[in-house]
Amino acid sequence: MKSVINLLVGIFLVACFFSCKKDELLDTIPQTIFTDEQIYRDPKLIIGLLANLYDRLPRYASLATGNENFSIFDEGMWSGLSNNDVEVRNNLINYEFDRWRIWDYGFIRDVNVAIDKITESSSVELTPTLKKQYIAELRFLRAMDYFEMVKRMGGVPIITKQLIYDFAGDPAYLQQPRNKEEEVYDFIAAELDAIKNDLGNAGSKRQANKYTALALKSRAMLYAGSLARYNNQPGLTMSSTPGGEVGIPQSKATGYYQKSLEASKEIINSGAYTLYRTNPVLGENFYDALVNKNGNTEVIFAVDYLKSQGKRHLHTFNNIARSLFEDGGQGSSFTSPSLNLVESYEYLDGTPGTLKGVGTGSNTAAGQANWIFYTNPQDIFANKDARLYGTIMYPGVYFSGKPLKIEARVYVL
Amino acid sequence: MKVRLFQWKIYTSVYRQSCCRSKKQNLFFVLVSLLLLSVAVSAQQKIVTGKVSSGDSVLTGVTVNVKGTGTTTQTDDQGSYSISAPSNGSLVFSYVGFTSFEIKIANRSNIDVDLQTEGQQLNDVVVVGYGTQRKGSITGAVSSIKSSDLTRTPSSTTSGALVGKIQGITARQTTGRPGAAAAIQIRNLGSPLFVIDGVPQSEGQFNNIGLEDIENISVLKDASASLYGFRASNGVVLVTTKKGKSSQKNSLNVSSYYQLQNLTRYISASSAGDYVRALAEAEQNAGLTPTTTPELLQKWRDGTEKGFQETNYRDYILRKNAPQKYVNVSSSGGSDKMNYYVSMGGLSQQAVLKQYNFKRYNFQANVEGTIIKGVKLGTQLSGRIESRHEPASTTGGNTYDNPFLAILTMWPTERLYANDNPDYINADVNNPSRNPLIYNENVIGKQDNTWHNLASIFYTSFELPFGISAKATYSYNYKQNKNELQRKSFSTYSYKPATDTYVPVPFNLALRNKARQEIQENFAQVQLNYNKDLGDHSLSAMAAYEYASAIDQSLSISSIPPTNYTPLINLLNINGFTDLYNISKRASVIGRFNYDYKQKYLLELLGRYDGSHIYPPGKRWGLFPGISAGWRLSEEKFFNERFGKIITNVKIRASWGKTGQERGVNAFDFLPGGNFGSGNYVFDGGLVTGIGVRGLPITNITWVTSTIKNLGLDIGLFNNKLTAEFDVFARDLTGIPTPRYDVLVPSEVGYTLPSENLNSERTQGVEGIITYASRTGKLGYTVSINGTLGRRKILDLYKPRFGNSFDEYRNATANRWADIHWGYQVTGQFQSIEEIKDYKINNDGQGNRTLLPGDLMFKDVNGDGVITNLDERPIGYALGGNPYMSFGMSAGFNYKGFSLMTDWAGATMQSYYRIFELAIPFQAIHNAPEYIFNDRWHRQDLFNPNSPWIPGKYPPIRRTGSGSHVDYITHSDYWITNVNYLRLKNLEIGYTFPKNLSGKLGLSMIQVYATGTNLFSFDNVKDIEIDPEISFNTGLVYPNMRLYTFGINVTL
Repeated sequence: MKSVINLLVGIFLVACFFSCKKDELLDTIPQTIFTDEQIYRDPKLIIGLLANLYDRLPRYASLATGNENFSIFDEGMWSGLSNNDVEVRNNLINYEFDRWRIWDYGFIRDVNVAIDKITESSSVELTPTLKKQYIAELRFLRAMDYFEMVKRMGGVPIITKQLIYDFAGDPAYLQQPRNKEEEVYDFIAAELDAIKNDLGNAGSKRQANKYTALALKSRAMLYAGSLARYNNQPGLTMSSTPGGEVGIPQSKATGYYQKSLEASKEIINSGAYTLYRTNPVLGENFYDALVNKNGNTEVIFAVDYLKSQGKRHLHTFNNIARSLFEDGGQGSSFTSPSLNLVESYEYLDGTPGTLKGVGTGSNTAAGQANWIFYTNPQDIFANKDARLYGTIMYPGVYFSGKPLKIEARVYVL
Repeated sequence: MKVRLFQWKIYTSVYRQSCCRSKKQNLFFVLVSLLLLSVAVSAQQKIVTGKVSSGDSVLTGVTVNVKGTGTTTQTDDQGSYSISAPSNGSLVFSYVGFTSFEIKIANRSNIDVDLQTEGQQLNDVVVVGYGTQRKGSITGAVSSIKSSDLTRTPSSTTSGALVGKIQGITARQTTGRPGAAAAIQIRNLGSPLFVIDGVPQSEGQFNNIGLEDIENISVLKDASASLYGFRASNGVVLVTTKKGKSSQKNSLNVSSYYQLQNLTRYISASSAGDYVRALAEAEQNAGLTPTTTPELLQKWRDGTEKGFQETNYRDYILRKNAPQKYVNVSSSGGSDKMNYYVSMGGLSQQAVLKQYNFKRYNFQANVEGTIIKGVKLGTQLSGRIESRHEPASTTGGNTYDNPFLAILTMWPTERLYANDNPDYINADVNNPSRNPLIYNENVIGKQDNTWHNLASIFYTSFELPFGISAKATYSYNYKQNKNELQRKSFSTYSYKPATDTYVPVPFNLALRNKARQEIQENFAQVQLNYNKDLGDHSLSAMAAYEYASAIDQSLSISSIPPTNYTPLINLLNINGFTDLYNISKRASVIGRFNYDYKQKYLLELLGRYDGSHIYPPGKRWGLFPGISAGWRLSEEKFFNERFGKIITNVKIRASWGKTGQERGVNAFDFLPGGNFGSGNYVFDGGLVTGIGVRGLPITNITWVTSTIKNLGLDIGLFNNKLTAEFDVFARDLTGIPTPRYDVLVPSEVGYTLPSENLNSERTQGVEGIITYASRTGKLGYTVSINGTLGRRKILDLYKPRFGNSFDEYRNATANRWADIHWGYQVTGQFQSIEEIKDYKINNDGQGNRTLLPGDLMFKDVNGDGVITNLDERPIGYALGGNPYMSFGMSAGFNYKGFSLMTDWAGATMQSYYRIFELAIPFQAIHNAPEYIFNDRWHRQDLFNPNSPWIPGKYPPIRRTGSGSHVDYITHSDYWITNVNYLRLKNLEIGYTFPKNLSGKLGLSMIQVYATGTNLFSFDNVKDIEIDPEISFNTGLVYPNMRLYTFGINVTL
């Protein structure tokens, strides 16, 4: 009997212990998830947070993603994978109503969460100066995101605090009306004015500093001013809403232009940036100005890629000309320039850039006298604005030591 | 060494003989002694004689064995036997088709025996969750299959051997590539949980265990699975490996086979003549003048002149009689204190594609010993090396796909080699990356994937007073996967006849990837059992506690090497690196209680209190109870008196149980904070890894609850010669996660609401098996058929909404069978141009201007004169999944040493929708199947557009790229086949040499057999040349294999 009692007591004790500890028994520690306590006390991790947000800044088409969108506008045409023809590019008849929509409130929420958490943080590692700088940088990112939204959507709701749902079934209290279009531009200007001196990052082209903020402000104000001015021109029937969610009164145009000018002047007068002019060959200089990372005094803000550290894009892989491509894959010449783009580069003598010999004369014995015969394919592009060479690879130019060949062939289906 | 053994109560009659061993046997015994203690005993011998019969007929060839020894003999033509045995030993009589019978000698010298024919034996022990039960007292739906029925199928995977053999299992072998397993499900519920020797394991582990090492497989299909909690909603497959038996003769068994593999079916590509004619016909059908001439066409048909030679890619790519080899050596035996089973095996399977292969080496070592009375200690160790070798894939996709695609991609008018010079791979083909010469490891490089697995189980059990026993188990598994890819750069060549030169067209595909995955699994369990018989009442109880954790880590490095010559990765060339880590923890308390009254009324209560790490603290534990009851009607006096002579056994079973399903939620979803490694950005100091703010913590979602109900009937007739089991079941899943869409949280909050446990569905069906096994004289035979029907139905959906009544008709799923396939119904084909002209219905959406005779005529269901998606109706079942209904049959007989066994498996209620190459001529400018180009509507004269139309099966040939014609883009039942098949899975002819013959060779058994697998099938996809089990809709996959196997089993 005693042993039975002992057994029962034993079982009871085990059961007690188990019911207290049963949840801890199953605790696991994730290796890629950091807690708020870990993140918002360590400047290194906050930098990681910023990296995530910089990386997520909206870009309609970038070198890494949305390659096909480079050919959605008049400058380029799609010549890549044929199955992408369906949804993009050359034969696009219907532009769906939300084609350029952006409603990036996931980004806004994350910025708002980070600002709140940094503000709340009582960590000694996070000095007031650092806090101020991080919050300034987060507000810059938020302003830039609002600019991307307002320029596409008109006025959007300005959310600067976390919106937390209580799971009670009625989320009506979370609803925020759209702000006026001008209010969003004013918000951007005010935010940038408020933070420009807290940003730090002096001299950086990859991270926001005072001049980046001014550049963004100047650009946003230019947009706002132009919307005010040109959308109200007589004869234009641009849409506007009675509540001002879309449309800015014409009277505000000058004010916005003035702010834009002032911001730009502040950058110019600071002497921090000059035009890039190191290569005597102007075409190459133009190319260098866009790709040279070292000592480039012209670039204010750019997304950088680093092959050696694994930050890569496939733009060059996808856009290498067909005659130069090196692997058996299908990637080549995704985006091809339009004739329109090529001809928009003027001749050096200032005459319009229409290519000579094309479309003149007729294919009759008499008309053939008007044709121009070139010795080399690149000769037709001679004497044009050097930026053509810096922008477009045309037949006969050399790329990585090989001449680009373009031949007319017929693709037989 | 002669040791007197401790005599154990249960085995009082067990003695062991140790004399006259051959030299070979001695060597073997020495080997085994190194591993174990080999013990032997002798006792006083006497000669026992007698006669064996069954009713009126004497039985010849009955094996008579002195229990616990290797002494055996067989009855002669008169049914007589004579054997030397210890006077206080026991004799065991066994014969195929009969219940084996054991009798104590008790000093008699003449023992006559009357054997009973075997049916489904009620005293057979069946493995169930956390223990075993007598078949007669099981109340849940449990099927089991034993070793000999499994190994009959020479399959490289366990699932392949299981198909069609027992009710409740549905399977689809969608590819026959080496080492590929069939996707098996229990009652179409989904992928089940696999448990090997009591330890949950992955499906890969289940499929790659040595087939010879399996003692039996039990399938828990209803509430009996509740014992496995969270992971058991789709049923449980329990595998038990072989153990040595106490006091059993040491035996050595060698089995080996050699197999020839051939395709069951694969599409025949069109010949060059047909291809060129089809091109011309496409031009004619498009209203153009064919660009070819009768002379050119004839040259292609002849195929002799240079430049007009045909290439048959199928013959180049696929070889015949690809070999598979298998050998397994096992030994088992036991004294009354120790028993062991050790086994080693190797399997090598070549593909029908050259250089592609699969190899596996397995070992299993199960050893158990009694260290002191009532205390046992044992271990079950198993390991395997499983490797797959293939030429690398050009695309990074599946290596087996491209060769099969190439057969139709390449034009028969193209050549493999540039200028037919075997030094140069031809680049001038329509798709150079599909030139099959590339799929060679010397050109494209290779990929090797290898699993190194070690599984170990250690256990000890104690017999305690009061009928209590205890068992403690610990298991550790280590699995490592190595993936080595070395893809090379190479050139193809374009021949320029003008200069007689070969211009290289480079493929810079060099890529090197090294990936390692390491899985470590810990499992510990303590279990208490209690058994008590109180006269008519007997009860038993089991309680267990279990804890399991697993860590899964993987590392992968890839580089773009500058050269093909070294496989080593250089820091400079690294272009990819990933490092992943996953951990899981589970703990459970398990209990079962059984009660029966006179074995007549049976009751089982079971349950599992299961905890999983993926849920937030406080919500981690769930209780999953089950109950089942049975009534053995045949044990009732009133029943037995009336029907007892015919009906031997009747049992009615009912069960209800709950299990869980972890679905719609991932580990750590409940945590806020940040995700390391989400995005990255280059700052001035270099690249910084991003940390993404995590979304809303998810704490509101819990597991999906699964409720299984089952009603079953077991019947045995004619002394259990005829047995049957039928079950009706329904499995409800409730709380399937879905978002509450009508709670409109504005998108400006920046997150989406997590799903909630709202939807529900049911899978219901019936299953059954009927077996007849008997013997008349020397002829024993058995026939067994089984079938399973299981279909899913959506029950409730969270507030479905519809725009109009058609929308509701078309898109509602609640309270309907799931996976209904909608499409157009084809009523016929246009017979003439006139018919098209006069046709009132706008058939192609373009005023019928794209139609030609032979094009498909769709049913205008709503009668609005135009074919639109409003005319779609249900036309088929789910695509690609397991068939709703599966059936199987086994039939065979044996006569003296000969045996013939057939296994059939079939299925119905599944749909196959064919697209691309299998339907469309010149799909993506490729070649087409021979039947598409030949059996088609066409004009009589290729060069006369006014010649009359000749009917065929398929629409007229067009060359419209990816089939932009209405015939192909509309989803119609013309291209859907509701596949039915019944295939002869196995035909095995075996011969066991007479004992006296094998005895002369010092062997106790020699068996040889020949097996044909997938020899033929009755099905309705013969005309499109696909195997009935494949699911890939272009048919361009490695199909199932037709196998010829020649094997031998030898037992020492």
